Amino acid sequence: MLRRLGSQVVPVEDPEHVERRREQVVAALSRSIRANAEHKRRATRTRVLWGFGIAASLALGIGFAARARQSSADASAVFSTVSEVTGAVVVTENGESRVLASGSEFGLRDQGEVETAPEAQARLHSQKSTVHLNPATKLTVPRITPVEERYRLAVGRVEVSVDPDSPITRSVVVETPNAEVVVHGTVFAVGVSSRDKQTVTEVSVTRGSVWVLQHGLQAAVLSAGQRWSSDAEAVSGASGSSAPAPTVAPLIAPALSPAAVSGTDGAVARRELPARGSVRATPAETKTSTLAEQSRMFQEAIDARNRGEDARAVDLFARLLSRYPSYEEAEVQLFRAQKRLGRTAAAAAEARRYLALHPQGFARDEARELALSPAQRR
Amino acid sequence: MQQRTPTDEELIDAVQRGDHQVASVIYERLVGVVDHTLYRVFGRREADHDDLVQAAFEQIVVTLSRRSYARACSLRTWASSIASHVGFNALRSRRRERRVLDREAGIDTEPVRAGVDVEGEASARAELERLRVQLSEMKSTHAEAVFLHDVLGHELAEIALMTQVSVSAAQSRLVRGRSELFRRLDHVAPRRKSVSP
Repeated sequence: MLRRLGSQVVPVEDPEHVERRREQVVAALSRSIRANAEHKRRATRTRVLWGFGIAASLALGIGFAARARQSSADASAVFSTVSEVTGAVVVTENGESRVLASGSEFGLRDQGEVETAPEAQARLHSQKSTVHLNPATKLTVPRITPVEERYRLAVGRVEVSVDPDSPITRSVVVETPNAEVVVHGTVFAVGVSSRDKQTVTEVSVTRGSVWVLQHGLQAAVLSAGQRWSSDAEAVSGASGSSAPAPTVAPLIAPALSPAAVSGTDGAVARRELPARGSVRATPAETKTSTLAEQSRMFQEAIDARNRGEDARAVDLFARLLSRYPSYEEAEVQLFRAQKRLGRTAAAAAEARRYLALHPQGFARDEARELALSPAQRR
Repeated sequence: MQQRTPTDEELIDAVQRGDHQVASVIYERLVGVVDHTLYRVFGRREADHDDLVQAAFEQIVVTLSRRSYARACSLRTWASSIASHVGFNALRSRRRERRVLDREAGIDTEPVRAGVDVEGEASARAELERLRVQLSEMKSTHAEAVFLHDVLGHELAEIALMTQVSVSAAQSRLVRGRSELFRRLDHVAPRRKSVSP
């Protein structure tokens, strides 16, 4: 019925009547524009007179503050850019909001807020980090200081990639209602959701390492393949060996055979989400060499992909995953490469494996489509 | 030589400067959407339709002058929001005056088409009239969200900006508005099993 209301045909009017209305309304509009402009000028004049009186007594302090603010604003210009918009994305800066159309870009010069509608996504780039906003996400974007970029995630999920080779030394922090995630050259994801009327923060690391702080104290140090949840009560087993991912095997199921991931999706998810046992720090030097090797292997595979050598890329990603299972980004790259090679069955199998291990992963929609496509069910 | 059509931005700047010569350009650009929106609110052009069009335009100019319009959506989208607001305010005040049903009908120019079921058409119009009445009696923020989204077809994000709330708040208003509307329609016509939007 509502649609019928919207699609009602609006009848054409008598042209003479239309012209009479036009004259009436245009005349009224003209008067209204003049009157509003005059009203604004008078109001502005009054405000100026009052302001001048007050400003006279504060002239020196205001002058210095205005000069300092001006030079800092000139120096920073655009410090982060919202781009790769799909769906409806609202950006608010200095109290003014705007909707970004799909494919458009917007440069933020000051503290702002980015909100994605359900089914929408966007990406935020600064000189140090790239933040991917998932659907139904609200993120406050900071005015960047030399010390840190501090994002505030109110709800939803973001995937953050920080350039470890960037010459900029400031840290990148994602703050949620009940945790802070401090980043050190890495790729990770943070999600904030409501569970049993409580806010829950979940962090998962794809590459590098992050610190998780609660109430200013270190709650966890996570490396690649590890997860943490503010909902967790117990810290499970060791992560003492040189390869971080296998030590969290009970939760992240390094064996990718059907038996290892059997059971309902709910069971797998229960093992995954609390991430108990994924939160013990490893020795610094072991972690460094592991991270370095992981990065090197990943880069080698990506280079092969970029050269168009998908078969070689598949081999390299598979080798990386055999060494570091549950390396989410590598899993995604693997099934994409399989797909490009036309190995649809293998790509679908990889996609299903990915979904079993990362039901809320950043590429879940793509994996689902691949895994459930009729052509793959053989 | 053909004059370039001014952009929305240029028109807004002109209004804020007090340049009254753009009045006719603004009128031509927005009269279609204002007229159609008011028609959809009332289901016809009321006797004072022209006055309502003028009121909508004056309100548009006020919002442009006072910078209430944040340039986050197109001028036409903004105009449809203002016009629906003006229309529903008028509809509500007439309902309160109990003059909606007794009022001399406005110009109902919908012709009776040959070969069409006249009774069926009349019944459909009565349904739509019932819908309008219920919308006018609902909480204004909910009715506005439902009208802008389901009738005029605006995106949720646009509605959030037009009504100056967050996207999630706009979505919440839409969901609640629909629930309230369907409850009211079921109450008004209790024998109907389902009412489709």
